[in-house]
Amino acid sequence: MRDLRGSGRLRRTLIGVLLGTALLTGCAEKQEANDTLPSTSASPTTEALPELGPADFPVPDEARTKDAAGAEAFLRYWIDLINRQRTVPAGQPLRDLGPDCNDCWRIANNYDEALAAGRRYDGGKLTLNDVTEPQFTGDEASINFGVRQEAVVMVDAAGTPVDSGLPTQPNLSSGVTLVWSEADISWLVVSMTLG
Amino acid sequence: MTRATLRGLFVAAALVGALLVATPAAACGYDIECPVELEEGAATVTFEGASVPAVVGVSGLEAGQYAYQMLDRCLAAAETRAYCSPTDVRECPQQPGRVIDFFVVNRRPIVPSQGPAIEPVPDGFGPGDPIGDWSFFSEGCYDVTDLNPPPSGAEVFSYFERLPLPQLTTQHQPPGDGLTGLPVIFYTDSPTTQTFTVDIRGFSVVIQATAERFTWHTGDATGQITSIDPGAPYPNQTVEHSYRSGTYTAHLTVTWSATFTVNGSAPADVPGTTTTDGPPVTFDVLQARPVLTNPYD
Repeated sequence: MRDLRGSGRLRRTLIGVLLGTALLTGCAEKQEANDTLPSTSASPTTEALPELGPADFPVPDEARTKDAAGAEAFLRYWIDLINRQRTVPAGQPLRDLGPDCNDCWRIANNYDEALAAGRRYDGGKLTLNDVTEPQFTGDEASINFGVRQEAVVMVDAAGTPVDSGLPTQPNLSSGVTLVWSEADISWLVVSMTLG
Repeated sequence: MTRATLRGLFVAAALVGALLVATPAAACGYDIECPVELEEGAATVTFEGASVPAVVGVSGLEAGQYAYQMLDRCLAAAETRAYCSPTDVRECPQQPGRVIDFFVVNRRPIVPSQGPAIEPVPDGFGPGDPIGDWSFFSEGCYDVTDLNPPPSGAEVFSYFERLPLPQLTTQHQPPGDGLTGLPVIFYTDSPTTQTFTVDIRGFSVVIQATAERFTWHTGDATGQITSIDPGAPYPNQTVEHSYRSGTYTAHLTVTWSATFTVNGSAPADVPGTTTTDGPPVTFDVLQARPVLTNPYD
């Protein structure tokens, strides 16, 4: 798969050179000739990627390449993000990165509702087990994986369980479908199944 | 995966433009895959299992490489945004004796029992295990008659015992206070039959309920009197009871039986009965004393 960030840098460098040339040729006033040409060293062209994800937990650069490594890196970041948001709890970052993902919204809404009710999750950390090679269809990448989830229970502000919770699940059969977003220069989650 | 559902609610939604609210299942508060349960009392509109591929037109190797799930379009919408609106409902051309409805079909790869899997299999999963993500496969009108057998008597009974059957009112004579030595007549003039039409998994089921036994709780040491008719007022009374003087509270318990038809079939008995208790009535029974009087006074 093509690394779009690489081609972007090349494009920006070419633009810089052309702009520099235009400025040089556009001077109308007579000037004394120099022995040396004006410097054409352009300012750095490595613009930062558009911000994505929570400010203090952004989508890492390695997850923003349109290739297999980028897709897998995004999955690993995504699982870490779910773990992070569960502990807050707060769902909006999951909705931002999965705007059309039903299950992502369900989980995000759970987190927001827990916060509104003064509840929190005790346990539930997800840990990736085996992750298979991403399969690509057009701009989409599908990844199958197993994931372990630690025992989890929702508790109220006093720490009292509000239900029976779930036991440890050592290897939930799971999958995620990602789509490449040119606007975000990143993968986004289309759908996800945990278990 | 458990689901309860909504066909009856579709009708209500279509009529009043209401939104159907999905009730999350218990596990829905957590991260793992979560079935949506809709309000109790309507038909199941989700199908899964080995018979589904044939219904959605899949055969051969492909049938063994995926698990298929048929969701009513309304349920699919409810899973997406937690409610279903009338615009989510699609009508399908019907055929006599068939159940044809509009479904969204999703599928998920499984590890096949023979041959290679369609997608990479993570470590730890074997034949029959689902892998990967659910994805949309198709949507349209499907004949689910073979997946959706007509309601059994037992299933109809589970609806029958929850129907709002009438609570029959106890009438007594003489009105007001009774007299010792003069039996109190009991009867009810409330309706003793009632017809209900319910929708069970897409089948129109007509339940004809009939009061078959009347238990009159007399409110004294006698306890109760049972009859197979609703009684009648004087002079055709069939249920009466003599009291000592005192204050008594009586009520009527009715045992209901029923027959049912499915999509206009021949009637069959509902296997079981249910009861309703009518409101209590309280009356005094007075002791009459003979008093000599002069009629010419």
